[in-house]
Amino acid sequence: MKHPDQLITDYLEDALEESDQAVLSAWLKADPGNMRRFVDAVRFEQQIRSSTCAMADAAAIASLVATPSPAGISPVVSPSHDPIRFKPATWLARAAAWVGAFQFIGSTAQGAGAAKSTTLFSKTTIALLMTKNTTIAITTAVLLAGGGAVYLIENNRQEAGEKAARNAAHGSDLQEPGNHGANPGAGSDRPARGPLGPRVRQAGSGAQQKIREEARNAFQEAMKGVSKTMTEAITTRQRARFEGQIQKLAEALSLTEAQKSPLQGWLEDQLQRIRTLDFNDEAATSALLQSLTVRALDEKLAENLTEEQKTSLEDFRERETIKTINAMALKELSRLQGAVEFEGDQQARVYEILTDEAAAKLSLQEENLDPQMFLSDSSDDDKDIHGLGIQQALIAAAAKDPRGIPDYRKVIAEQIAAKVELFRPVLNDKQLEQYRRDLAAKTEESYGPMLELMDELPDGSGDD
Amino acid sequence: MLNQIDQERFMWHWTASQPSVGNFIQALVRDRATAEDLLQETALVLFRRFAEYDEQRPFVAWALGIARYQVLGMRRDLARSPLVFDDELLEKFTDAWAEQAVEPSDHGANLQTCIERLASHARQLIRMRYFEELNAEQIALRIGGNGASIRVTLQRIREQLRNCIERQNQLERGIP
Repeated sequence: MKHPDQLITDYLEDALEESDQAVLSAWLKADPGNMRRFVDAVRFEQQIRSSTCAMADAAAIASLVATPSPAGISPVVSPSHDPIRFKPATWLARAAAWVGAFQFIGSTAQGAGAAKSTTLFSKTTIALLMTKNTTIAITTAVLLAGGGAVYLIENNRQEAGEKAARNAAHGSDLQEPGNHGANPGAGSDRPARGPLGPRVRQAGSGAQQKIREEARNAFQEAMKGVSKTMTEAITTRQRARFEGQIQKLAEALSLTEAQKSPLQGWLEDQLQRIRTLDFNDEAATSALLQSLTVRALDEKLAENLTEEQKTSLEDFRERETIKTINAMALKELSRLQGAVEFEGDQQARVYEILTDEAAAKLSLQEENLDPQMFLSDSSDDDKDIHGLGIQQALIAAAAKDPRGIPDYRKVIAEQIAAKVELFRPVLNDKQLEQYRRDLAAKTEESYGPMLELMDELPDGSGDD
Repeated sequence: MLNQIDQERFMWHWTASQPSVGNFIQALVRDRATAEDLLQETALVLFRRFAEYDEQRPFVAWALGIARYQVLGMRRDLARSPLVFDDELLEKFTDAWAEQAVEPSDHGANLQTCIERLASHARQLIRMRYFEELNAEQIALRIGGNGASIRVTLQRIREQLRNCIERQNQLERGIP
């Protein structure tokens, strides 16, 4: 007869023979200590599995973050320990990649002087395109537009490659006519690749110019479609958001029809402003953002409230704020719990930190209105999928140097480091490292495609 | 429907207990997709029945009790499990699991350190078994030997890891 330890091992290895099942069952029933030993073995095996997977993922990701990956190589990630992470790339990742491409195209074209004022997106538009809640329709449009963007990228890369080859062959520093200062050094050490490579290679400079023009036109046409779709989505979202707010207020304050009616009129006015807004006009966008807040709605409402209702409104808003803060903190706690196993009173202390952070974030959101609000159903929508503020940090980095490509990996690493430090007073070094690795893995999942694309792009930050 | 405060209380408890309940189900239902479905169903049942939860008891014990019934409801799938759990065995298993789930784990934090300290051959085996999810026979095909010998080696590595964690814990407690 097999020893119980051998039976447990066979169970863990999915190799328990049918004749041994009854033996193991009988042994487990015979003594509570036996069952404890069995449960302990099963739990220990699960811990080995999750630690091994976490280590393997972290190692793969660390190598990706440390060195730009060659084209076509994807991070090695475990196939099954966390299925949520292995769904096909989310639309956000795809959209982010294209947005990265748009930024590049804008800055490159501007740097090249080939098409003046071709910074295609303002930071507002980029923020909107990177919003989690953007509709599938927008994604589709962005992807269509992205086709044009890739066309240009490949074209630029090909030109730069040919230029470098010519320079190497002639030992000269000649510039190609019509492309003065375009992407100095861009992709000079990379072979031209991609679906358009051969076509462009065969074409003369006049033909190249034509292809570029066609691509630019196609791209700009596609962008008109994006803009239209975006406006429709924003209008729908904002209608839903404010109608929900009005309904809540009506119930909480027992509003009369006469009190509700001006709010509906106010909402229609705001929606009309959205329809005519140019999202690349920063000033107009900012003004609209200021007027599309719950505070603005409350001010409008207050014009027709009794004193008693005004007090009720204040109480209502206070309760809503607390609810929002708690919801934000709990959501974050849930994320953290997935990465770190708490000990003792750590959970309660972490929750305190998260509550403070949520309150600060909320207050900051009220002061610095984010264009992504346009696509939110409510103020507590999850606009920051990892609670790291990465999207805003990336946009800010891009805005600092509109002609260059910021070091996105560095920006992401800094955001992660800052987030991890928040919990240093409560978590130990190992837990902090686990959390850091988890955040690195999750951000790689979301932003990896964009980062990989960025690695592939020639540096557009050169001098004229 | 729970009110806002109860919803938050539920989320608080569930956040803390979910890993343990998930592992419990996974231990009984080895098929990962089925285990995940069961975990989701368990969460739903817990949410619906949260009003019945007695705050005097550990939440995880209550949650495991519910999860146990969810597992029982999956008899067909359970039959494919390598060990047939009858009602009595499942009850004992759930109790033992609940007992250990409320105790703080003393080896989680040091496990990664101990895995890093394994000899490279052992680390490779662990990686193939748990990361690549190969069984002993598949590992044997890749590196040579047979399934039985790989199983023995894996068991020795698990024991090695346990000893290493124990030493780490003793060091942390200041025991020489």
